[in-house]
Amino acid sequence: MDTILRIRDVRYSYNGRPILEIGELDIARASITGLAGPNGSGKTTLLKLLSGVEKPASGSVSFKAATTSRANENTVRQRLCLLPQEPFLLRRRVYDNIAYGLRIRGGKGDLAGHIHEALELVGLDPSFAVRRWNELSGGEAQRVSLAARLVLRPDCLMLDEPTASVDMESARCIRRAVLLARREWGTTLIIASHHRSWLNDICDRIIYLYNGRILACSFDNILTGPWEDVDRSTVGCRLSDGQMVYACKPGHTAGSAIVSFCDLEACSSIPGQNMKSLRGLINSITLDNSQAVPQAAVSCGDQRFVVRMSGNLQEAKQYWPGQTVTLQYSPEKIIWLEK
Amino acid sequence: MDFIVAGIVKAFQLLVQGDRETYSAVLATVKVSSLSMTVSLLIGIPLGYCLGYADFPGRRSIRTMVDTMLSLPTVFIGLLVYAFISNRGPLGEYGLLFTLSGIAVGQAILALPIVIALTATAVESLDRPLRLTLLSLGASGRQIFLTSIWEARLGLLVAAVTATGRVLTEVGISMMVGGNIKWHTRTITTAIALETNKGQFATGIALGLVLLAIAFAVNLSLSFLRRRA
Repeated sequence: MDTILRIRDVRYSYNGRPILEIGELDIARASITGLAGPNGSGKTTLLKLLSGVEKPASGSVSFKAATTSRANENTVRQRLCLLPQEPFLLRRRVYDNIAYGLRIRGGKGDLAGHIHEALELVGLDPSFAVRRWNELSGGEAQRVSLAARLVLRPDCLMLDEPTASVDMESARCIRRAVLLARREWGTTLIIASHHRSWLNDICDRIIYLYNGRILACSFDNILTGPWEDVDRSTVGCRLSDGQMVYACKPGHTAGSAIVSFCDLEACSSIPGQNMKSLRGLINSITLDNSQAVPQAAVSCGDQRFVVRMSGNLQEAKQYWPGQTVTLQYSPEKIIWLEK
Repeated sequence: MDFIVAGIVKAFQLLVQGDRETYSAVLATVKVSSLSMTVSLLIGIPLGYCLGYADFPGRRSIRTMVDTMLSLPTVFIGLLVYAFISNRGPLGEYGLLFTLSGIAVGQAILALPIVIALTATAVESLDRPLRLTLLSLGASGRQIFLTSIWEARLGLLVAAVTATGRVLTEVGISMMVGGNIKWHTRTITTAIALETNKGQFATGIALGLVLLAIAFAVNLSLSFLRRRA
């Protein structure tokens, strides 16, 4: 893999509280990586570390095999761009906002041409260039912020919830622009978003973060408790529909845990040995983008689980949204997450 | 009441006829306040930026000290500067006593806390995402400083106007350090004090009007800049 960004043993804390702890992460050149996770899972912090805006307390972040240091941080940061969640524009015209990055890089010549091109890329008319920062809607401001980064043609563009607070038209323009950047210039994209279907559609790979750590699977299957004692060796988490998820009692206080399900079953059946089951309703069936494996989102009360279907696509066609299914799991295979 | 009206009339006569003594005081005031404001802005803006932007141990204590110095009495500054630049003082060899440069030193000390405190406030009130935005666009430390100062320009204008007002209207420093020497270190405010003591109200009022006109011109130009900003 041609790695453009590499993280090794990175730790980041704020006011003594650990925020992020990542042992190993490689981002391939010209790839699209999605970052998913609940609020406070460390997505924004990871983007800041990758873009060089923040420095880790320990460990290393490398760009094109060169570890980011004080000596090369400006050079590295000029090749990486981060689009923060909240669009922020300088108190200047749109033209000057987009030109800012070019100017601090010593850009001269046909700035206007580049700026108009960047505006068109994000679906804005070049006449927007003369508008002032306070004459734009939220969606337009977000698109101007993106244009200010696209005009720099960065090696790697990181987007933090780019479509969180914009209308559908702006979201569509943002999506089209970043995909074009990848296709035309080979820009590596890293996108943090709660918009799961979007990430599933466009990402080559999705990284799930939880409590500042990378999870091996989707965070949908995390149960946060509360857990109650069932017997000496078992604890249970009661779902809102009254069903109970059982797990082997951990050595520490029961906190959050990941439940892995075997497969879906359309009919209610007796669970196998050492297995437990839950009944739920299929919300949606999608494809796991990286491996083209069908997966179903199943609701059991308020809890949503994602179950990868082991069969092929043909077999998956026997399921449909709204269908009631049985999920089997092994209490012994429930993984407890460290607090 | 008559003498006040007569004073205003005479004031216009002095100004229109180009009275040399009046214009000498005006020129001295413009010179010394320009010099002191230049120095205080050059030193005060970077210091105010550091105080408002950076987070370092003792920052709150320094901020309290700077805020306290906003109330420094001009006569006390005059006394200190006099002690330092008089022949017996540590800076006596530079011959600054009874010169416009000496007055400018004192006025710069007077204006500095105002510039620092108001710059720090302006920088503190900048939008939080500004730094992140600049960093994410690849700006270096120097570029972040210059852009932040530009973004805080309205606050800096307020700092400059406030400090200029204080410098233009002070008497204590000009009197003690400058000595109110005719044709040499006599500024508008010291001239007004002297003329009033002599009972020459007309000259005093004339000089007062000039002072107001200068303050008006400064505010007018800054107001123009603020509209453009």
